Amino acid sequence: MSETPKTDLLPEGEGIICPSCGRFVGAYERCPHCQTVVHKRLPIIYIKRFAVFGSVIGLILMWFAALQREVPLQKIGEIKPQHNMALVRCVGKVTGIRVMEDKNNFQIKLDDDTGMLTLSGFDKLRKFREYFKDRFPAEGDLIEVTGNLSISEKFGESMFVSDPRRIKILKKFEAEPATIENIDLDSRGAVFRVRVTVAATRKYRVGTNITVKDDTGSMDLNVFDSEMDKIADPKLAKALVEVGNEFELVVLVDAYKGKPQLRLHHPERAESIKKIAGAAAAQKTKEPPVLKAIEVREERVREIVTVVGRVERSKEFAFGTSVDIADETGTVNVWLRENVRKTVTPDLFKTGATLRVTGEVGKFKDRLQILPASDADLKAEAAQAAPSPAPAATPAAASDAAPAAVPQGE
Amino acid sequence: MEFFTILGYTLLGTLVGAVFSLFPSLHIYNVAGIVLVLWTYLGDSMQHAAVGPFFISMITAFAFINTIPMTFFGAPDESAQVTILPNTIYFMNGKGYEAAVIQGLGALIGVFLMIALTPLFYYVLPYVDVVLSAHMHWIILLIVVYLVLSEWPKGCGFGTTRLDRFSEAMGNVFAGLFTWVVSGILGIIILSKSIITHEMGFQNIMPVFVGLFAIPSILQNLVSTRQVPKQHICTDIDVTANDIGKSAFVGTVSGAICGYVPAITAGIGSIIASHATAMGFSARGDVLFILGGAITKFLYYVGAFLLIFVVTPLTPAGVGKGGLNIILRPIFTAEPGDYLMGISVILVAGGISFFLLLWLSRWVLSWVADVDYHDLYWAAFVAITALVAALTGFPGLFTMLVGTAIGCVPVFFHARRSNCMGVLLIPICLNMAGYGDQVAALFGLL
Repeated sequence: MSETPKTDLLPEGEGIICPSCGRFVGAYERCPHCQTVVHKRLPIIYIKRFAVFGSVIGLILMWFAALQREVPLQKIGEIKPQHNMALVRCVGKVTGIRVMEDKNNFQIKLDDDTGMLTLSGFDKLRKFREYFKDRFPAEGDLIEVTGNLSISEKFGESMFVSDPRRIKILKKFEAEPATIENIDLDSRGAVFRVRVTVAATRKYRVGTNITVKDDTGSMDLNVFDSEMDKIADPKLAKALVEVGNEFELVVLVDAYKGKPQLRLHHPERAESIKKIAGAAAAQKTKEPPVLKAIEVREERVREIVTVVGRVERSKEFAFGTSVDIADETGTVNVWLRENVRKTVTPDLFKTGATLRVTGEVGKFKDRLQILPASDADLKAEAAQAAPSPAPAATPAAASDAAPAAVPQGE
Repeated sequence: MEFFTILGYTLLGTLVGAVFSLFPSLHIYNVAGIVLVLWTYLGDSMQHAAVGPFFISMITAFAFINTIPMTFFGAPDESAQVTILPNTIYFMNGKGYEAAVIQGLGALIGVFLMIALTPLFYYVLPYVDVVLSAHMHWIILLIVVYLVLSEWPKGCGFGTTRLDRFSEAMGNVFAGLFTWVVSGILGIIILSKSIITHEMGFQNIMPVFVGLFAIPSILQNLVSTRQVPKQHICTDIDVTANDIGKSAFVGTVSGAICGYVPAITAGIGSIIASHATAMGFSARGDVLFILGGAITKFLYYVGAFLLIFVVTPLTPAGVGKGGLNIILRPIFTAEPGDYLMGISVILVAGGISFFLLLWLSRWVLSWVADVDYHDLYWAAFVAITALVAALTGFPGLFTMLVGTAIGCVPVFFHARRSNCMGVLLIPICLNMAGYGDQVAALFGLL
């Protein structure tokens, strides 16, 4: 038997030459001459087939796996640096929105009670508005967002949203109805729907302080000029500062100098400011109870009441005037704030004059007082309404007061 | 005190980078990912001032020392495709050490180029960034189109039938197109709805890149029966001042492209720059290729990260690009004025790394001929698979497997490996153009 010549194509003829007897074995895995097991090399064609078929089949399987995968729900407070770029789902309340119309950008602050996440849409504002129309995410809405997290030491945790389908509105925010008496400092940050009447207004440098009242009390509504400009209907903005107009407002409870104060919640939205009735109609529909002085008690604090009595004394202070009025049951103090005092004639609370006062029952240094919100809350009454214990009002005093008060009340 | 913190972490980062850069097929971004996890676990015990110096010096060391596995172990990464052939020629001719020194010289030129280009980075680039950022999608698209068109037929048209001749001639072109399509689809799936656990979201792309680039390289070397020839330790190198000037020009052009444009790697940048300048076809093409490729690689890895320190009123978050920039974003923010710290760390780490490269090259060459490099690659295969499994679990291994299949197409059908970069270029281009989510919706992945 002749020796098979060795080839130099592969080192020592690896795979085709028997390493034991040195003869040609071809495709055999065991040498047909000496039965030695021959190490076979992996043909490249197998790798090529794996490459082509593996790519296609692997991609199909991966696509299927991706379709089946549920995006995990992530608590914002538990986000770690390793989550950077991770695809997650977050559910939370919208706590703030910032839109940049000129750049077509928006930012939504999402809070899930564990932390805050910023959703950013760059050059996507119009696209999102077109998709959501009037259901564009707003403060208070409960939403679910799916996207890739971007965690930066400088900008914190954020998520870039480029398609509106990645945001689902689970529950649209609706302001709960409330009365003024239910609003206190503990409600700070809450948003309510209130039905109120404009009782007084006071313009200051950058805004207007509007005193609003309902059957249960009154409170200041602070509207900055910038917010006033956002009110789409200029007539509505004008009506908001007209005393006597009745509105249904969506308000955010804020605080100023330790007292609750209202702010308009999204003044740009039509549903935030609805005019119910004009001044005349509002007056007709609302008549606070007429009480005797003795009925003005602690439990009526923050209620709107009317008391008729004769002026016993009045005293000027720097920020207002204190007037004591009395009827047959007792005496009650009326505090005229500076803005009210300035608009009424002093004759109205001259000693002996009979006065009809409407206002919120308040308390100052353990003393109950009635706080009229505007000049419309003060009216001169006929002398016969005056009580007996107090000195009788002279007809002259009543008639002097009436002409001055009535036009102002109207 | 802060000076010593910066110096200490610069030395530590250089050392860590040098050690891990020796492992064939292990990318420094994989190491950076592991370090980030450790860093966040250590929390407040790590000084914040240490983050920048440590990672800059680590990537600087990688840009130098990675030459060793690329040249001596034949383990190219995606950036190595321009240098692998000339390097391999040098290595097979017993001049591996000379190739390593030339690459080290190229990286040093990269260091000094970055210093020279500082005014450009700081005073011109922010304006360029403002102008170009809105147009990046079509710039990337142009690059994709150019890469597809420039995949010329490599076959000679041999065969018995017309179909044989056609497939032999055009096989690499179709392999390139096939790679673009499948890697692009893989990228759309991975970036739209990755199957990797969200707990390791920052390593979403890692298994894909290991699959596309590292494993096919390992396979390529495992099926190879090449013997390592005896190596000569030279005392001088065959490089002229003219070579340095020309390669610095090509390297700067390609480094600017791949250092600034997202998802453009050193390989792609070098292809464009070498075609634009036609220097790869000169008589000294190999030297220019190695030297220019090293400069490009340095600007691609280190320069792209250095741009994170270009904090100006126009670019308040810097203009940093590249994987390390993304990996470090959760724990590191550059402040105005940090640029000087960055460049000085690069100078120190670059100088040390150059001498480490010379020393480590001689050390590796002293034993590489006596060791079966198949064993090295088996070890690398096990190590890298274990790393993927540890960080991303079974979904990561599956992703790696799919990536491997795709990555094997250009390797074994002789197309360009940079075609695999479709995995990032196509989805990024779509996202920048505003169509990313529409395409994802088309696949049902929204």
